[in-house]
Amino acid sequence: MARAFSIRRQRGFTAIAMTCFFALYLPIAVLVFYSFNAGESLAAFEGISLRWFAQAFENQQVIDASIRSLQIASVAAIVATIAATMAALATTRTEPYRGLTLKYAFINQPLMIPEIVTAVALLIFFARIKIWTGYSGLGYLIAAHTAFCIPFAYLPIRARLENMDLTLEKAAADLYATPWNAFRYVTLPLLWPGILAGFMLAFVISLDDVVITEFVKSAGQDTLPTYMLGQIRRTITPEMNAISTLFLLLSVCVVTVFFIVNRKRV
Amino acid sequence: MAELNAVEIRHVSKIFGFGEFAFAAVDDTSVSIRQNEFFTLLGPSGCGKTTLLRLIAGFEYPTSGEIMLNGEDIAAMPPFKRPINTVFQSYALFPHMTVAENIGFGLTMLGKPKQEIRDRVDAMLKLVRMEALAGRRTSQISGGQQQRVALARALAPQPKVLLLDEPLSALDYKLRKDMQIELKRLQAETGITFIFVTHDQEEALTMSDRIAVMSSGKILQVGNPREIYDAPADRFVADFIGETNFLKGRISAMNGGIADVDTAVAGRISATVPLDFQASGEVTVVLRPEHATLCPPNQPAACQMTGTLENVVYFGTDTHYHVRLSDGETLFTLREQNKPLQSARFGQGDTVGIALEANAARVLRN
Amino acid sequence: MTGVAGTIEAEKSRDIRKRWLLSLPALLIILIAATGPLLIVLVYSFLTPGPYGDVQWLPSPDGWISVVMEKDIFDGTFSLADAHVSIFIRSVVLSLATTVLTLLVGFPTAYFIATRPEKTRELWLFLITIPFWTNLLIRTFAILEIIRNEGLINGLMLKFGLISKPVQMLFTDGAILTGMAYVYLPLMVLPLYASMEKLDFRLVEAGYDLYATPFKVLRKIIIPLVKPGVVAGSILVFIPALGAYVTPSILGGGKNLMLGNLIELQFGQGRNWPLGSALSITLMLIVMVALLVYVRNAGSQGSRHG
Ligand SMILES: Nc1ncnc2c1ncn2[C@@H]1O[C@H](COP(=O)(O)OP(=O)(O)OP(=O)(O)O)[C@@H](O)[C@H]1O
Ligand SMILES: [Mg+2]
Repeated sequence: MARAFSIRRQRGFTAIAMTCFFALYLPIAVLVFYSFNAGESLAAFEGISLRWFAQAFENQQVIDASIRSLQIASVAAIVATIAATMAALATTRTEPYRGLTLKYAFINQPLMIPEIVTAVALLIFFARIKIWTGYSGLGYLIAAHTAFCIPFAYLPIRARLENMDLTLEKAAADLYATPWNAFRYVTLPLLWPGILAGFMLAFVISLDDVVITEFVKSAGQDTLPTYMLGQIRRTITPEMNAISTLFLLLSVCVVTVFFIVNRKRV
Repeated sequence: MAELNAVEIRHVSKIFGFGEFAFAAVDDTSVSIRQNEFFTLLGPSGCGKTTLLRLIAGFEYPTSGEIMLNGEDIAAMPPFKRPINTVFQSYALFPHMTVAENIGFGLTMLGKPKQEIRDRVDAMLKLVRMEALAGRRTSQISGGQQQRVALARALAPQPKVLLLDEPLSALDYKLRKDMQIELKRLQAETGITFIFVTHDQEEALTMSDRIAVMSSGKILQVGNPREIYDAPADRFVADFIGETNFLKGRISAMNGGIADVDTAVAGRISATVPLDFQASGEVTVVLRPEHATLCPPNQPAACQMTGTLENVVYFGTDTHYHVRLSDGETLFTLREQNKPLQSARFGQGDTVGIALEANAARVLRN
Repeated sequence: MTGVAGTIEAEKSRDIRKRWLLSLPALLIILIAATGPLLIVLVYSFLTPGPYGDVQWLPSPDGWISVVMEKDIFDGTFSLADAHVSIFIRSVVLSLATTVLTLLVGFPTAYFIATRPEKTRELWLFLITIPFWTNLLIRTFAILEIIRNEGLINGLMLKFGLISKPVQMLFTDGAILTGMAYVYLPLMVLPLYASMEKLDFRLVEAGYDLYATPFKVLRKIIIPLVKPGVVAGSILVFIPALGAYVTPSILGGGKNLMLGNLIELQFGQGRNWPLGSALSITLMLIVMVALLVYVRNAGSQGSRHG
């Protein structure tokens, strides 16, 4: 029997899409699967074991790097989200004014330039400052992360603001809310999901960063990704798989929350 | 001492854009709205009704002119300081609050004590018959219910003036009729001045104490519904409100408030003349369709005019007839009430006569 | 009269001042930790390399000359730097190939997602979003695990006796291409999906009504309508691919360099910061040109529909 004609169908597209999803998840699945391998080789699966996870948890370098990653990501994401929220309020829902385009360009600039270029620029700049001030703490990494997190935090917040019904604030003003009260009781609660989404994006982006961190970090300031990069370049043990699996799990959790928050319309 | 007007608009203009794009949405308009009246702004789309309302609410500032509330100039006062509330066309209910929280919002912002707010919210819920849904989110109630909540929210702070921008336009016909009655009841019960915007003339005529007809940023006529309908000030008002026939003619004699007008199509007819009207040259006479009837063309004594019946439209309560008059140009509309089980007396293509009711015609001010 | 008009003007300028104040923190952070340092890179590209890295404050055009030329150590003549030129060419070719490959796979995938029923569409979209936000390093590592000599493919083939010694797949251009296509695929699918989601299928119906075959409908109706998505996706893949550092350094090894690795080299073993700076700016310029093409394309699209 002939298949009913569907205007949406294109021959072969479904097959390609399926292959695509398969190809996207197969390497990740292999990676996760072998993190539970009792043996060392990818050629043979020698039974399930948590041995590599245990090894990772005993590795002081991994623990230090993880804590550092989380510290940097938390601070950078919080600062970036606050700055991005303020910037979004300043750049939406207005007639164009002088400097508005400049602001857009500035805020999105970290997205436009290849990461390696920014990394090199920061390497040069911070090397100077380190010499001048003698300070070589985490501040440099936090500043760099905050800067490239801002455009990511800005995106969902701005989108949310632009979709917000302006008459709601008018209604609040009509009902005796001062501008501050209108912001606090109407704008902010409605903006909240956007701010949360922006924070999570910024957090994940900071957590994932390799290139800029690799160039900016001082000795002994490895984050988890730069530690992993160093290891992968030297010797690969299934411990890497275990660490990757845990990292993936964290990312999936954050992304899931982001997805739910961002999809939900009030 | 004469009572102060609730709202007084004095020579107010609102100009959008600059230079060659400048556009007066409200154009040097003056109008007074009395205490406790149901005042309606009526006019076609884009004539500036919403703009005028937003000027009163404080969402726009006038380019020039004064807006007085109970004798006080409020043109530059921000909206959150004006004792005026608005029922928005889209309702603008806060989606993150419950029905009760929405209604209490204004009082909360005014810093009223909690107990007073609770009592007032309860009273408002009762007033709009929404007690059962107090705890619902506003996204979980129907359009008609949202409408009531919007009303209750605007009434709760007991404003001096309530502004309503086409509040019923999103409702279906039946619900709209119910809400019209409801609105009248609320206005009578609360004694608050209502300024109501609509482009539905029937709604305006049935609900208002007084109506202002607007066109292109200007107010053309203010009056009670009967005045607006029976004595339109000019051609625009006559045309916009209800259906109207226009006949051209010359005044041959004036006798008190009644003039004899010689028309080409209907011969001499007598028509009411506006007060202090100066007769000069050609005038236009207006005649509502319900003030004419069809008659057999072979009774010249009863019929002033003859013509060919071009179109018969059945409307349930009555039937509309469109007659091409003998000059071959004018299309005259008239309306007859239907009687049960009686078919139309005339059919398309028939030659008919038209009889005009005495003194129903009216001379228009030019 | 002027009083009211004056208030409006004052109100407006107060609003704009407030808006500048609000955007100040974001602008400052980005200026200090992103935009500002780029200018320093420009300055450094005209200086002389220091002996142990960094620079000496002596102006010199050598950094820029070395981008494509080589100075002979003995007679001081210049010749084309074959190594650099081939890296430039490899970078551009691999990035273009990545873009085309992801487009060929991503287009049907995005179309597939966009034509799912409302409910399942969310799920498919979610499945694309997860890799989008998971660590690029880990995804590159996942590819490495599969293609390295001790990896899954070689391991399995050895085990089943298909080969006697591992096939060298790692450290080839093919490995880089596979890896980049893999990690950048979601960047292609998401913008494509965004424009396909808005596709008005009544137009497709009209096409069929006027005797177009499914392929003609695809070519004459669907592709032209989603062109903004195609352009956006291509740019989003091309730009990071051109500046890629992590993927080629893991899968390409020390020999198959791309621009990103070449730049890094100058700040590491090469100890030639001016050259590294000049290369960075060159990379940035190529990206700018690509962005300009995008903006012009997007602009003309917008005006045609508006
Ligand atoms: N912010 C603005 N900028 C420029 N022009 C405007 C603005 N607001 C309104 N106008 C113009 O002013 C005129 C009057 O608009 P207004 O909204 O008051 O009309 P309205 O009578 O309420 O019409 P409707 O019945 O369609 O709601 C319109 O021509 C409109 O285009
Ligand atoms: Mg309006």
